Amino acid sequence: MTDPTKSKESYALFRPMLKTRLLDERMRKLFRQGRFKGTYFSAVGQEATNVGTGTHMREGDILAPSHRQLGAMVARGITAKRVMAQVYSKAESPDGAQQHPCHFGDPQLDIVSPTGHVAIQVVLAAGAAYAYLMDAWREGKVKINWDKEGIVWAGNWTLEEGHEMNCAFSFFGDGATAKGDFHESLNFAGIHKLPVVYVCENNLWAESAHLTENVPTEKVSDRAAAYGMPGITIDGNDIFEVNRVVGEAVRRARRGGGPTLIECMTYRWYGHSEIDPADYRTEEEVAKWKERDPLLVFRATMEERGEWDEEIVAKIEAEINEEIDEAIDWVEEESTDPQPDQFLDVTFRTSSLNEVVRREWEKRDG
Amino acid sequence: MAEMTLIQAITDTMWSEMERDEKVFVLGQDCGRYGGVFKATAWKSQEDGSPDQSEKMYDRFGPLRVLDAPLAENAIIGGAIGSAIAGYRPIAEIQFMDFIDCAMGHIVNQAGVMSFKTNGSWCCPLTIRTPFGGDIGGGITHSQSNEAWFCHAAGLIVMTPSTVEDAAGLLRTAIRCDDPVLFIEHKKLYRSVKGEAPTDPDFMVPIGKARIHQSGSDITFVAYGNMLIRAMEATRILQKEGVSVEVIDPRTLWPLDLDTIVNSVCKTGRCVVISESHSSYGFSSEIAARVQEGAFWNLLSPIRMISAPDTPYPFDPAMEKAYLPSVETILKAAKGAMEND
Ligand SMILES: Cc1ncc(C[n+]2csc(CCOP(=O)(O)OP(=O)(O)O)c2C)c(N)n1
Ligand SMILES: [Mg+2]
Repeated sequence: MTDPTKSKESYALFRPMLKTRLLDERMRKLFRQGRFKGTYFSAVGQEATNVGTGTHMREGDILAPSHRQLGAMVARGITAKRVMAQVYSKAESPDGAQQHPCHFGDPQLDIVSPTGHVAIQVVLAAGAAYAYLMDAWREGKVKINWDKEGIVWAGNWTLEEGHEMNCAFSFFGDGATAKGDFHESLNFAGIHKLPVVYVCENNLWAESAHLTENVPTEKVSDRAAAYGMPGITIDGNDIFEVNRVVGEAVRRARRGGGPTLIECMTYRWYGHSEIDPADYRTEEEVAKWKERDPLLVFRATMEERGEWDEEIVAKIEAEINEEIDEAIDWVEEESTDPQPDQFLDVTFRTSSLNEVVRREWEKRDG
Repeated sequence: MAEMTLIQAITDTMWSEMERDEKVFVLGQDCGRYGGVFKATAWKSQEDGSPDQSEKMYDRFGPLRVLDAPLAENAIIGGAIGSAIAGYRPIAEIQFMDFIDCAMGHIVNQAGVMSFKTNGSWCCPLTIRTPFGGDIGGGITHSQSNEAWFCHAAGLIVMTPSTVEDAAGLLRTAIRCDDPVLFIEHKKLYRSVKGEAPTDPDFMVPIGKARIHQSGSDITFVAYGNMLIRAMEATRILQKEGVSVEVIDPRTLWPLDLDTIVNSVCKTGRCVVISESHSSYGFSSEIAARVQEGAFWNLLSPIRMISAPDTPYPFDPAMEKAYLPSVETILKAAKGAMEND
């Protein structure tokens, strides 16, 4: 377990956070320069929530992202090259250029490639968590505690002392909580005490919809009570707080203590996507949140502790910029474009079925 | 080998696949303790083919592998997909096909695109079993045949068995398949269709292979489920009148075994497609369109499309009777086709 109160490990949190910021800002610029197509969903301002969570992932833990999880993926280990390949829609991208550039995922890192359906991935996280429970049960680590009539057991099981399960990580926005998928997932996970951590990035807006237009309760975390799980609202821009609270939830989940809903209060600095001028918000609100920049919050804590080290920061920044520069050079000069007919060969794992699709296409255009 | 019902072959196949592979599990509403509303997840067969009621699937495999899921179709299908990407082979039951629309997003935009959106890195070995079809007095939301929705979507295999042998062979193929399969079961056939189940524990029916249910030379019928049963009744009557009918059960609705159907129509020159789903953009129109493409120069008369009206499904017994294509409907179409020579 990392102990972020130690300087060295604090910088281990800082590095992915800064990398996310620099990568994100650079991609915004590249998009605006017309160097890649589609659009771009920036998550600048939300790095602490993402990185503070993502650093708790272990191999085999599924990350079910929404559309602003660059930071969680960077924390999980995605490289600048893979990210660039993704937004430039190159053959080397994690999804082989099959998806929209901004629906990031990475099968190699157990990160679900999200569909454009808001909230749909939240349910997958509960399903993966159910698989982790079955894994432990098949290994004989789970004892089922039947009720006294011996009829029902749902959620009533104990994990062998010392055993740890995989944990599923689910990210979603405040807007996504209005969807039925959110309810069905948390309901299912609550019933069976599944090892999943639900991280709601409450950035006050869902495209142009205000929080109060999607969420009837004062806090998103108030809903946790309805699903029989703990809920907590925290400062999503303080990476130390996020890392600590998520860490506790993940530990509890792995040890059979069930799911947690963590609402991280944060803010996206820019539009919903790069084509959104975000004129539905006041300048004052944006300015107020920029003062709570996750990087500045980190710095203030480190300064308080007397551990802010300009030299380390400069070194980290230089290394990241080098990685990004290299990645951009590579993606623009050396990467490969996907074959225009590549989409015909990947719809099914059963190759004969892809041939069915290909034959139809060849009949049309061949 | 003992005779058994179609639903028993379904249960037995799940049972044997669960014995074979501990990653196979079942989830659905009332599937566990109750054994499912149709008892598809209840008992395996005994020697005489009847259910051995001494042990339920739930007791044999445990409550985690025969999960009593909440009343939440998104959680059932989305949860099954999540478990599939974490290494399992879920068999999700949707209690009635009429409720499958609740989970549409997960089936169409998650299961169906899993392989595609990961460029083939991940797949989705999910089987969705669901009872479809009418003629049971089920009314609007317990009678629907919505298979065309899924045949129209990308990335999904759609199958339906109309014999005991196919129930076993197709379902085994579905469970072992690495791609998502929608496995629809006509509820009228569950206990009315009986036959000998294959004894081979690895017996499989290939995807996309139609079965010539009966050979003939004058006219081709294409149908599955309860409409196949009615098509066979019509066939027996026509046979007596000296008309030789070839009856084809496609078994897999996507992908279609067009070759078998087209070859048959090239031979007979006539084709009647019978389906109990809505007429517009449905099974009958699909087959008709493709058959005319493949067999145009061999057609002796226009292809007849028989389907249900584009209305919701009525409850009242007389209305239900009027709603569904009957044996007489099929006979009339067949005679029309024969006279158009
Ligand atoms: C099912 C569905 N409905 C609508 C949309 C369009 N859409 C994309 S993101 C979004 C807002 C999401 O807001 P929130 O969940 O708060 O996440 P944020 O963008 O703030 O990170 C909307 C409406 C969609 N992609 N999917
Ligand atoms: Mg939001």
